[in-house]
Parts: sequence; C-alpha cells; structure tokens
Amino acid sequence: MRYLLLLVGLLATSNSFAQNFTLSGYIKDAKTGEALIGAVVAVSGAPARGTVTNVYGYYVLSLPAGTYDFQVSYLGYTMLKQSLIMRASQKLNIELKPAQQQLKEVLVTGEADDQRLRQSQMGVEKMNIATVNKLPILFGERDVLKSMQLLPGVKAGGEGQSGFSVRGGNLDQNLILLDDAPVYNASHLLGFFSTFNSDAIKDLTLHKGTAPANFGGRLASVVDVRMKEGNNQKYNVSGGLGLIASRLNVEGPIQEGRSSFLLSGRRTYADVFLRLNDDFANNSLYFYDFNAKLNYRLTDKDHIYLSGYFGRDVFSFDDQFGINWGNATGTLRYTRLISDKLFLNSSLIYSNYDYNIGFSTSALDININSGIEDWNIKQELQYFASNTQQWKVGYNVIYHTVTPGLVNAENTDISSLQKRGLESAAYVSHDWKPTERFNITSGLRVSHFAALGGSNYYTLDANRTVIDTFNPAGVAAQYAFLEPRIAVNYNLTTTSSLKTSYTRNTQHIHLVSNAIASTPTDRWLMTTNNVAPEIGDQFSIGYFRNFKENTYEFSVETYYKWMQNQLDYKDGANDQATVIDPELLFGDGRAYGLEWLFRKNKGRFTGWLSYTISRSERRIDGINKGAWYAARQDRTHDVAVVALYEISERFNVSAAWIYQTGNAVTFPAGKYNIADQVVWLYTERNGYRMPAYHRLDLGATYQLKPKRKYSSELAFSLYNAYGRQNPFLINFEQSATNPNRTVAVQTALFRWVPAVSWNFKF
Amino acid sequence: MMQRLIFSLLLLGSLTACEKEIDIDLNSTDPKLVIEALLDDSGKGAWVKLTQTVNFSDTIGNPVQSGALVVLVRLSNSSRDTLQQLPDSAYILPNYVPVYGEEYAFEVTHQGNFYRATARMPQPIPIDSLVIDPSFGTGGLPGNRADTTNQRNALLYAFYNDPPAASNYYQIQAFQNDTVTDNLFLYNDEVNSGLFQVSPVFVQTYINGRIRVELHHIDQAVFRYLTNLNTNIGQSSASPANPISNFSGDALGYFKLYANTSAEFQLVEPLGP
Repeated sequence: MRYLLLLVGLLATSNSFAQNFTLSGYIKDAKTGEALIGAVVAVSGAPARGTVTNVYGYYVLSLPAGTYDFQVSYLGYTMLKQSLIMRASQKLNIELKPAQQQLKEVLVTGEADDQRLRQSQMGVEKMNIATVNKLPILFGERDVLKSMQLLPGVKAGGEGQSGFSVRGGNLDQNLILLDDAPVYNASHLLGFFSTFNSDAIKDLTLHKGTAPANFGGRLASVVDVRMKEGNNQKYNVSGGLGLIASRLNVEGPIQEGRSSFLLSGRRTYADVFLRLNDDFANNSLYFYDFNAKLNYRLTDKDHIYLSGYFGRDVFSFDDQFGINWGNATGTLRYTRLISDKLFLNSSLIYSNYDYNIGFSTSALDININSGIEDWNIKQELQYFASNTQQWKVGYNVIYHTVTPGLVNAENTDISSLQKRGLESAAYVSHDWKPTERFNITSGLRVSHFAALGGSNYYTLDANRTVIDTFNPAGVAAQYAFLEPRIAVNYNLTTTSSLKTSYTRNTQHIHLVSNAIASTPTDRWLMTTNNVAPEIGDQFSIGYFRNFKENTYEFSVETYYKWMQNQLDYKDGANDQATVIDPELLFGDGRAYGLEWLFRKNKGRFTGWLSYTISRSERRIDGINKGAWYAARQDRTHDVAVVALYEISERFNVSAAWIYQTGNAVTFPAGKYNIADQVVWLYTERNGYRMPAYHRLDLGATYQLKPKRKYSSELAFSLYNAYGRQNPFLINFEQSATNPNRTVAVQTALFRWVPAVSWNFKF
Repeated sequence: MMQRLIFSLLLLGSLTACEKEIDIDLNSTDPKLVIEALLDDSGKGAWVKLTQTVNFSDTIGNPVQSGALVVLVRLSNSSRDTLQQLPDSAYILPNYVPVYGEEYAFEVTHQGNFYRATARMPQPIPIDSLVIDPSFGTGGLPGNRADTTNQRNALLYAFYNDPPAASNYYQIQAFQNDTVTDNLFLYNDEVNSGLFQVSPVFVQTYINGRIRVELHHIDQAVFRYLTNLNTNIGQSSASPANPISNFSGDALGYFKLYANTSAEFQLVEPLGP
C-alpha cells in the first residue's frame, strides 16, 4: 500500500512538469542515417537538462519556455551545438558527422564521455567497434565477443574461445541477443570464432548480471548486440580478404532517407586449401555467416525493421561422416511513436540452433538431430514521463522446443522426446532522478515457466532413479518468480559517483556440457519437474571516478552472487543417456570478486588496464562429498592491458596482454590396471589448477593511400607474440619409453600466429 | 604462388600446436583394492584378478593381491564355489558355466575387508551375420591411405536380433588372430528395442586376415561401468571420475557376467582402390 502511495506520488511529481514543452527527435549518423544509441542530448540554460537516446536513437526532453544552448554529443562524432528557443513542443532530428573521415566504417562508439559515471546501471560495458577493429586477434578475424573478454569480470572459455564466463557464471548463463533474438551457440569451429561478423554489427552492450527488468532469463549476463540498419543515404560496398575468411558487406538506401538495406556475408576457405592436398580432397571444413537487415520508415511515427542472421559450420569426411551446425534468427519489429512521450516497440522473433550428425554408408544411415527453437513475442511501451522519470512496461512470451541429441533411426518417433516449454515474463522498469545527484533504476519482473506436456516426463525417487514415466496432456510442471531489481547511483561530485545494485534473475534453459572445449553437441535442457530453475541473486557496489575532463576513467566494483539449483553431471554420468534427468545433480553456487578498470579514452594513446580478483564455487550433494569446490571457470587473478596508439592518421598500432590464473581441473591422484589398460584414479573434482595463462598480441593497421571513391587498409596481427606454450589441455599417458611409468603431457595450441588481412570500402 | 603462401601460413597457424611433458605435483593417495571379475558361458570359467591402485608417480609394476578368499555364489540355491589362485596371478574356477537368467554373486574377503557384487546372467544373443562395408575406407579418413603395410581400416557390421524385453546392453569385442583390438564398442537398444540391430565395428585387417567378433550381452551396471571406463581412459571428460563399481565396500573394478556369442570374418578380396 505504501508502495502504491509512493507510485501515485511519483506520478503526481511528473504531472507538476505538465506546463513544460516537449523537445523530442531522433539522433542519426549524417553519413549513413544509422540511429545513434546512447547519444547525449543536453541543454544548458535556466534549468540544465540532459538525456540519452534509446536503442532507436530517440530522445525526449521536457523544457519550460525559454532560450537554450542545445548540444548533442557522441564519442567519435563532432559535437553539435546550436541555440534553441522553446515556445511550443517541437521535434528536432539531428544528424551528427563522424569526427574523422577515415576508413573506420563502424565508428559507432559506446557512450558519452561520462556516461559510465552518470548512469545508475552498474556492471555495464559497451564495446566500441572501432576499438575492436584495431585490436589484434587470432587469425586476424575481428571479433566483438573475443575483444569483450578483455573487460573486467569477463573470462575467456579457453585458448582462442569465443565462449565466456561472466562474474563466475557458467557459459550457458549468458543471454546473447542479436536484434533481440537469442543466439544459442555464438561460436564457429569449436569456439575459435564467434558468429558475429563485425561488418554487420553496430553496437554491443554487456550487462554483467545487473540488467534492468526488461532483460531476463539468464543468471550471469546479457550481451545485447544490435545489427547495423544500413546506410539510407548512399550505397556502400566494403569487405575484406583475410587469412582464413573473406567478407563482403553491401548497404544502401532503397528510398533515400526513408528505407535501407544491409547484406553482409562471410565465409572461411580453409577447406579450399585443404583440397590441394590429395588426402583431404573429399573433405570439407568451413563456416559462413549471412546477415541481412531491411528497415523502412512508414511515416514519421512508424518504423518497420526486418533483420535476420543465418550461419552454419560444415564439416565432413569423404561424404560418409558429416556434422553441421548453426543458428538462424529473424526479427520483425515495429516501432511507433504514439505521442512525443510514448514509444511502442513490438517484435516477433524467431531463433533456432540445431546440429546434425550424419553417418552414411552403403548399409547404414544414422542421423543425429538436436536443437532448440524459439518463437518469441515481445512488446514494450516506453514512457518519457518527465526529464527525471522514465517508465518501461512490457511483456515477453517465448515458446521453446528442444530436441535432444537422438539417434534418428528410421522408425523412431522423435516428437515424443521433444520437450516444449512456455516462458513468459511481464515487467515494469522505472528510471528516476529524484535530485541532481541521485539516479535510481528500479524494476520488477514477473516470470513464469511451464514445461508443456506431449512428451515424456519422469518421476525420480530419492536416489534419482526413474520410477515412473508420464506424458501429461497439459502442463507437466510450472514455476513462477518475482524478480526485483534496483540500481542506485549517487554522484559524490561532478567527477565521481557511488553505485549499488541488487538483481535477481532466473533461468529455465540450461546447457550441460562435459567437454573440455565447447562442442556443437553440448546438450540443451529445459526446466522440468526434475530440473529445477536456476535462481541467481547478485549484490554489487562500485565507485566511479573520471579525471582530466573525462580523459581518464577509473572504476572499482565488487559483487557477491548467490546461485541456486546449479546443475552438474554426477560422477560417472552417462551424458549420452536418452533420459538425462537421473544423470544430473543440483546444488548451490557462490561467486564474488573485485573488478578494477582504469581507462584512457582520449588522445593518440588510448587503452585500458583491467584487473579482477574473484572466486566461483559450487556445492552439490554427491560431488566432493558435498563440500564447496571451485567451478571450472574459477580463476583467482585476471589481468588485461590494452594499448592503442595512433602513430599517424593512417597508421595505428595496438597491443593486448592478458594474464589469468589457470582453470580449476580434475587430475588423477593415482592409477590402476583394468584389462591391461591404465585407468586413472580420481579423488576429487576440480582439485587442481592448470598452469597460469598469459599471452601478448600485437596488431597494426595501415591505411593505403585513399583514392577518390575508394579506400583500403592492411591489418596485421601477431597472436601470442612471445610464443608462450599455454596448455590447452593436459593429458596423462603411459610413457613411450617405459610403459610402467606415466607422465603428464600438455598440448599448447597457438604459438606465434601471424595474420594479415586487407579491408576495402567504396 | 599466392595460394601456396596462404596455405603455408595457414599450416603455420595450425601446426604450431605442440606437446611436451610437464611436471605436475599430484597428491598421493592410500592404495585401494581393484577387483576385475569375469564370468561367461563359454566354459572358460570364472576369472578374478585383485590388484591395488598406486600413486601417479609410481610404476605400475605387479601389484597383484594374494591370500584373498574369493567365492562365487549362485543365489537361487546358495551353492558356493571357492576360486583358486594361480601363483601371483588371477583366482580361477575353471569350466564353470552359469545358468541363463540366474543371479550370481562374487564375495571377496581381503585383509579383513569384505566386498560383494551381484549380477544376473543375460540370455545369449547369436550374431546373425558379419558384413563388411565395401564403400568404407576408400579415401578421406586421415591415415587410411598413408598406411604402407597391408593393414587397413575396415568397417564391419554385426547383425543380431534384440529381444523384445526392454533395456538390453551389448559390448562388442573384435579379435585379430586371437588378439583383442584396443577398441571397445558399446551399444544399447534404448531407441530401437526389440528390432534387428546393426552395430558398426571398426577394425584393422588385411587380405586373408581373420577377424573374430564377440557379442557380449551385459547388464546395465556393466554397460555404464565400461562407458565410464572409456571416458576415463580417453580423458575426454571435463569432470572425470572413477567408473562406478558394482562391488560394495569402496572397491574399484567390476563384475562382468555375460553371455558370449561370436562369429568370424575373413577378408578375401582387396578393398576399394
């Protein structure tokens, strides 16, 4: 009741601004017409006011009548200043010019100078794609997901892997969204490349488990990736030739200024070279990505977007054995400006991940199909109540179908084994600036999950043995949760702030993996009567400080995360079992850490230093006698140093150095013989550590002399510059010289991998 | 020329993977008893070997455990037979043939500790036929053609009838000239119960080479044990663990009671190109 009164009070407060006029509009890139997300719009005058644009580049300010200095800024763009007279509500669409006319085709950068300081959200990182393009990377393939691993609190899944762990979470606790569509397996070639072709990507935001109420469904993080909309001013062709892949990107207006398209593709060609070798003549090994987006402005108030992604990995031997896997996503979105202050966004989203293993010979045809398919409806109303208050109300309904990895012999009926689930959520989120110094984002998400009938469910006894199988017509199991979130920012001074937040998240889609590296055959599960939903509660505090007019920024954040119903395989589990429920165990998790970031944003020399000290542990009955043990991704120390230097307008160099404590691993304590083979004796799970991992990467980009309509650059990189043999895995084997002796053998994957690529644009 | 250059660069990248021996300080552990107990219907009788675990850094040597009491019990009539130990080797009960469908137990008393495992003798499943796949091994798979000896990879199919009763488990072993091959093939009827089974068996053979394929009808516990044993030996799991023994008393190892049928195959013609 008291809460209700408070709400009424808040609404009343917003009404007191009713005599104000509304200034609203879109902020766009002058050259391409792309909406700029998070651009800062500010007026200085009698009351100074400011706001940032939403994900469609839209802003609203309430101002009393008067004369103002109006300014719009966005990192990497020339600041726009003009004077403005407010006599009535008005629309003001602004086009910002990129600061430099260079090849940095995706100069869309993160945020305003001190946005990180002023927003109430914590644990948020924006990846600047222009920076991503300058960083050195494995095989020279630019990759936002891998560059993101250089940020504090984000840990790589392993050597060269695009899988990652955020704040001690598991790899499957990250919600990766491409234009709102979940991407279930964001990696190619066993994780060495991500599915995001940086040519097609506009913007990436990472929420480290502290996302506002409009996001949900995963415990550890939300990675919100937005595709470019396509230049609506003129045609552009860009692309690149790399060591292992080539890319081509075409964009342009359909009707100038009104609609545009973007087509972007990438394909690797390692197999083309493999075929030069007779032994591999009939083999294939490649992946490709295809991104497309159409956007059409119906009226000044209505906008339609259609975007899609399709990517696949194909791997086959001799037309007999083949495996292929990939994602497909599609988003149809309609946005409408109902009034200057009311923004409606409706989306219909499709997402599919599947893999297929085929083994075909004259006598036998085996097919294994597995996947996860989503149909998703999302609707959100954004209400710009006043300069100090903003509301978001929305809902999201997802229909999941999970097909487990099953041998599809001709007479098996897969549909009875497919699991279906309905995941729904409704939320309200409120941004509020009660005073100049306070900034509060609060929200509530109500989530519900129903495991639907039509397939087999199992009743387990206390020993987790199946005692009954049932196939209900309606709902097999359901769960509902209230997920409160609050984030408070208090500006101590104009250059420093203190933040705190609490977030609860739940998760109904789980991945159980028993492999050392991510494999396409990892198994997706849904919450059922036996698989309880994962619940995560995170509390964090942080201090943010900027120096020298935002040239330098410093932050330190600490978090504590408590996780329930964390699942893992029991000892000796059969991960190929058709009925997986008895193979799993559930327990608690806890993760805590301290993250430091020091960054220089301006000048010829830029870069950052990040350091994280953290723990991530699990406690599961039946594993390590129920004692706390280190999660695989538990790494105590994690350091990244990134330096970028602009030698001249056309020549950039960069370096990145990382140091990480090794993963927690299970090593044998002893051995014995069974059937004359050496068998390893294990005493505890994750009781050992891999050796520490460190690596230096170097990069350089050189712009060739631009022609009138055409420019190009050469990008060089050297991965693992000092050639450290970082162990990818450690195996135990019988010594070749003395079979009675056993030895530990480490395999290191990449030492000194040089790469060069040529990128062009016309 | 350009392609050659790129190819070399690519190889440089992928071939930089390298292996080396390293020192890891592994904990030591108290020795545990390992029981390997086998009994089938072939007339070879019961065979039990007792060994111990050793520390990782130790040599395996010959840790055979002697002086234990090993008894085979037929549960339906409580008949008990004591196994005799061969000098410094296995405990045996020659010519013992178990009865199909009956339950048996091995009881081991060693250094004052008691260990016991039970199993039910499965029904024999005859191999209907063994067929070689003519299209397999004609290219593609690395190593196929690199082989300069007459040995080559071949793919056989074992055909047999799965009984209609639910949950049958099989292990297939291939022998080349009476030597067991390394590979361990495990199959179950979870998705095609009661049907005619086609189980692939990968072998190496040569012209006129003799391959004997044994089909072991086993129970679920042994199937699981062997599956985990494969994972353990291959170290393919991120959370490796000890295979779960069907013996009580914290022993390692297993009691495999199985119905054994076999068939032979001889390669008479050259395969493929």
